[in-house]
Amino acid sequence: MLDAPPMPTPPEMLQRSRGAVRVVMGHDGARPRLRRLHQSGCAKLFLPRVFDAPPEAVFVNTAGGLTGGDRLELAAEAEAGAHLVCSSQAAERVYASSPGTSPARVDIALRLGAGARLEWLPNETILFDNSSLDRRMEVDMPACATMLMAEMLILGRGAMGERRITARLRDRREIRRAGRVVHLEAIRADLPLSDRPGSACLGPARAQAAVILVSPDAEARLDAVRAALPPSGGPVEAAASAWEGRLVARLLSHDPAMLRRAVTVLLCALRTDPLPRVWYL
Amino acid sequence: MITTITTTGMTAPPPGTESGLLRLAQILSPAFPVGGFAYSHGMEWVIREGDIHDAESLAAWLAEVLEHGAGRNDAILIAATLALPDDADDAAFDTLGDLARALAASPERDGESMAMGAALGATLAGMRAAGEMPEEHMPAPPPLPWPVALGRAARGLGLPPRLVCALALQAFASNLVTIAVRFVPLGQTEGQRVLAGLAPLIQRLAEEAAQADPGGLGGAAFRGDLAAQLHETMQPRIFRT
Repeated sequence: MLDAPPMPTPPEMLQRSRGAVRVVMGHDGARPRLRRLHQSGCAKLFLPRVFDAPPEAVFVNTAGGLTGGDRLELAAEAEAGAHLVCSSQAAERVYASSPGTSPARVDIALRLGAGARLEWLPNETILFDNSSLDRRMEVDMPACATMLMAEMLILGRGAMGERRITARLRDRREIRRAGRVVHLEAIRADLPLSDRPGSACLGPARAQAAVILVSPDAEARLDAVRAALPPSGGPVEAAASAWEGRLVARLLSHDPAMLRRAVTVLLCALRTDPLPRVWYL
Repeated sequence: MITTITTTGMTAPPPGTESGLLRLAQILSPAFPVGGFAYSHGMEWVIREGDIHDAESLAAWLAEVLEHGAGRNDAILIAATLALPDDADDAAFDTLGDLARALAASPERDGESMAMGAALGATLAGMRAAGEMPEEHMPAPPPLPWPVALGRAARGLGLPPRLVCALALQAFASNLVTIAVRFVPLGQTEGQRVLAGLAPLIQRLAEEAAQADPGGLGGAAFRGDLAAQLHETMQPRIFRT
């Protein structure tokens, strides 16, 4: 009786990380002006010095990753006429959640003013085996602004032999332009999904990316984007379309490194500024 | 005692399961002029690539598109349209219509949904003008995307939402089976066997959709969405999606 094991700690009682950042970038006619910077908990933001390039905000999760019950809130705003590039210092790792915990939760709110340009170019999100992520992004923009986002998702750690992971993903990106929803990219996946080669889901792919541009000139960029897509029949399956002020490119591969390279080429075709330095680390 | 006698137009079907079901079967029939036969939902590309090459691969692909792609999402949007309050205005339908359009994987898919929704609205409006439809079944212009137009047309038919969703999913799958039978090709009976085999999945999805809300929209038909986009530049192509 005296040897009874200690009472297990209920999962929700364990310490969970919390973090929030908020950045507002303005413009005074000649130069970018940081209007607001707030950070709390495990979420940090740094603004590297950039020359001859738009201002960058680099997000860091000092907890080193996400697990069940964690909560992050990220907010970024480019005021009228401002340009802001948001990225992250490292890949976002989503670790296994202990049974009974709620999913890791990430809320992202992006706002753009008239004529603003906001780019959301984080490093990839890596889902570990038995992870659970609930991520929601909401973008509010006027018709005359430009929003570019690239999101890469890696399913499992290939180096650790994780090939067909079990994980739960709810990843919803909602873009509202002039108050109306114009783009909804919503992943709702309970992994593993079928890995048969002809599948309408993933097939053998374990890396996925979407590049989305919402801007008045989105359709005019389509030819350049299609020319920058990897060749058909290769290790990265990809396609791009543009309609009604949005351009959407989607990529899939069994090889995360090749997917990342293809996304890099695509972003270089869409942008004139150099990519955030964290993309080359 | 006051007795009110209401006259409801000579041919308006009274709400009731049987008349409602007849109306829904009419709208979802391949004979109803919404032009569904012109849209392969990206399957033309998938068949050419060899991903669908026999009854088994057709059944698996359709099941994935139903569960992880447009099937489940359309069912949720149909159910959400049916669930709008009786006094819902055009703006309420438009909000759901915006969601449907924002989810479209490609411009061709958006075009498919809008053209079918508009044809549904126009045909019902024409029937109403001829005195064949009561006012409450009439989707008002501007055109709505297919799932919202269908949901709006099914309001007031007195049918359980899961039944409307199930029949809509079956009509969607049935159209694609017909296309596969011609272009894979498959035997007619083989095609119908595939469709019958999807019934349990269709029933489950319809049941879930009837209880879901638009917050549950989403999917994982990554390669199905890619196929919809790749179809755009496919040469030659017979179908519009």
